[in-house]
Amino acid sequence: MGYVAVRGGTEAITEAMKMLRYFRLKGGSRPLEVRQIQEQLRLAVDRVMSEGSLYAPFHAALALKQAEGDTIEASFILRAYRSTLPRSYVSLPADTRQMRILRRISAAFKDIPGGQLLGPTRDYTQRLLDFTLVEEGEEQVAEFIEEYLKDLDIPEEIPSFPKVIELLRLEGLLAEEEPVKPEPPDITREPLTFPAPRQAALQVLARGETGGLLALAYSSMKGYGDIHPTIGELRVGYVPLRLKDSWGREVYAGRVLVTEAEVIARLEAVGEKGKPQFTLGYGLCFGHNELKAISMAVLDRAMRSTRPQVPAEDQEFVLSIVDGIESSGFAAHYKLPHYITFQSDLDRLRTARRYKGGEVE
Amino acid sequence: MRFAELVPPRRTGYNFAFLDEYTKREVRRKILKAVALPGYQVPFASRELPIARGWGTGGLQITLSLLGPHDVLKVIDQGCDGSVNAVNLRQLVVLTTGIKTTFDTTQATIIQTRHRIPEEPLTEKQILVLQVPYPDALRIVEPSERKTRQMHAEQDYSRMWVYLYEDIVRWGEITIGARYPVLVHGRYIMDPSPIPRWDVPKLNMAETLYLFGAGREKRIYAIPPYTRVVPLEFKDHPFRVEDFSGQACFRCGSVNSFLDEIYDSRTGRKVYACSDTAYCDKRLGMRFSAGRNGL
Amino acid sequence: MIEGKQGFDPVFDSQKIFRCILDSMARPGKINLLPATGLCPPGEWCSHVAAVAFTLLDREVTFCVLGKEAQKMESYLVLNTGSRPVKVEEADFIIVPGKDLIPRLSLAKRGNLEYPDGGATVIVTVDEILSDPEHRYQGLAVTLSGPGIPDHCRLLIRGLHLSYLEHFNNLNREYPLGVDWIMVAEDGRIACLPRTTTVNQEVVI
Repeated sequence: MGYVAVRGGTEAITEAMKMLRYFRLKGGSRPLEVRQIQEQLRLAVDRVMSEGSLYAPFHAALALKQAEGDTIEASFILRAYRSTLPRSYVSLPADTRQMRILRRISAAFKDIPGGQLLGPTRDYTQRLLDFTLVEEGEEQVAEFIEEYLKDLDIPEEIPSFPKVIELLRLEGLLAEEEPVKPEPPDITREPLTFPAPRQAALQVLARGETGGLLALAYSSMKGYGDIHPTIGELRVGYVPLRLKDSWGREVYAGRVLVTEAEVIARLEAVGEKGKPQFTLGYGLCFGHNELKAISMAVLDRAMRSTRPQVPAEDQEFVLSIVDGIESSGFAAHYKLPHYITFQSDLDRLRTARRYKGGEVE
Repeated sequence: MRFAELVPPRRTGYNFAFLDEYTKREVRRKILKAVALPGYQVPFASRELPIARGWGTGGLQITLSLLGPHDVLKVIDQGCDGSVNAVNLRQLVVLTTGIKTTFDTTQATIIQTRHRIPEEPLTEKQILVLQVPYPDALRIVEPSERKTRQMHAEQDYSRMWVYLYEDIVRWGEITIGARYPVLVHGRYIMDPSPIPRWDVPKLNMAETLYLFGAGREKRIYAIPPYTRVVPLEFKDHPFRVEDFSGQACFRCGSVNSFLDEIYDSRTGRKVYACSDTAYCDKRLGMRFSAGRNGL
Repeated sequence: MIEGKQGFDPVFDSQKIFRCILDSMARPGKINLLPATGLCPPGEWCSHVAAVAFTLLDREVTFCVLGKEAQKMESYLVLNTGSRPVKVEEADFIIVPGKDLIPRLSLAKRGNLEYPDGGATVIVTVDEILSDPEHRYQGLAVTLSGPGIPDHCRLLIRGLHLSYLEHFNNLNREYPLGVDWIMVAEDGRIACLPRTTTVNQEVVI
């Protein structure tokens, strides 16, 4: 019997890799350009940057190409890449009031200073499969872009967009935030311990997997919880990042596209004068990902509940399951051989059966 | 000669042993604390690696933080060097260090393993690094890390003992197979990782140092040499290893090693073979292909 | 940051030194010899204690140097490791000269029950560490037992003030709380005492 499973491993892996490549290319269609993915699948790219925890659109697009569209796999590739990069600077806290707005809405008020701006959204489209996208020629595209830019009505001045929650704050209707440490903890450098400070919790959520976050947030909204969120403001746009160089001078480093959600939860907190106030749930993530930002904000608020009753309010539960790289890795690991532990279980089962049945097997 | 001179970083693009020096330092500091607190789980940051969580990143971070250019590495999974996952891990290490690898347990200075301790006794010149999925033995009675940490702090292990007792009442024996809980240095209850019960006695008063890494759960723990490691048991229901009486390895005839049950892919017959394939090969007098890229 | 220009290779020297420390910590009383480096710390501090510090310290941990030439060593380590100097009761690493009486060492942090690993690591410089029981009449002779030691082992340490033994036993009186020790001799020999070690002074007859 030829049971020597000792040297087959390398060949098996090499063949598997070749087969992967074959499956990606066997259709014969033109190999995708990374730029196409970056530009035309921008929401997938944004998701991968957010879950990979690295703002690098080109690399995220490349990872998506490598992963054949599997966003969790692509996020994993990006995370692994991230962990090899040197960390030269930490940015100064970014001020989202300086955001170059692409989209900005509030559900709390009909009209707000600066106005409700729909921006690029599918929210009000009908979800009908668009077959005209099958034949999209380059000429057509060029024509459309030319027309669109020609027809644009560029205002004289860009209006200012004060934060909606500031309006509530000015009236004293919003609870004060607890003071935070000026140097936030870094969950990639220090292990998470529970109860985790809010800054650490938000970091975990910010790199969390969208589907997982959505499911947990939904559980809260649906009724397994106390959060009936009113979106005070949802913003999508470019935020400038600044840092201090080695001489202590403030330097503009670039801008990042982020989605920010500020969610107003029902009155709960009691202010200084003994009067009830609203509390705030906050969510922020890389790229354009509204479901994630809203889910983050709902969970942020839920986890700060003083008396956790349901899973979404259990901080340890939420934070230990939302990381897509950890959950997917562990779920996948069940495919590894487990025959030793199984052998041990078999032994126990046989012994236990002897006890129950009184027979010798 | 230094590795850096052999293969300049620019060519491989990676630091020696992949991890940056900050990561290695943190892991090294935590290993030292783990050794000073036998059986206690030390939290660590746990970097992400190009290998998935759940697939050995904890063990790997320990191994990569230990390795020097003159170490000789053995990697096994379920006792087998040729297992696909072992090959994958070994490739990553060799790619970023260029060190020698071996299948021969006695030649290795560092052995990274998933779910088995090799049959040949390890010496004080060796370190065994075990991959751990669940670092906390108390997880079966309590899902919350916060609560189990408190239980360990207060040495409140009553719920574990109740669990074991209930097992005996129902089934006549403690039904835990692999991951059998042990008491270390009379203080911490520890999960020895999913090694079979067969391997648990090797941890007690051993010559070698055992290090345990859980990457996803972000914990490192250790059993120093010559440390008391006692499996939990009741006087009238003592700890027992797996029973292979009447069986022998069909290849080498061994009756003193942990055996895998295998269904022959051609005949469908059930046979038993040593899980430690290198040990089995040695008994058969086979030679090993060790060397710089012994994959 | 250290770039290997001082005769200390941050990759390969760190690794070798760490393996020595680990082996000694896992086998209390076992003497290991640190590889030589070209480091020149200020004052009377030896190159080996600097090498140990370079191996273990960085900006993610805190440290404190005690004793007469503390200030110079502190600045040297801040410059070269990026680690942060703090008061002794907050320090993750405490560097002390073994021959001097340092009462403040009793303030070293010992961790807490939930996180006993928060206890400090003390790096103490001594003149000599010997395992040969023949040279008993000069220095502190101790018998060690506990995890890592088959049965027991004996050490003779020269240049270690007697108060250190009291410090060790006092700080480690409540396992798992405690402090772990690395002793570094002038010639590069090291021995470690994790908090699990029982240390008894030998009575000279």
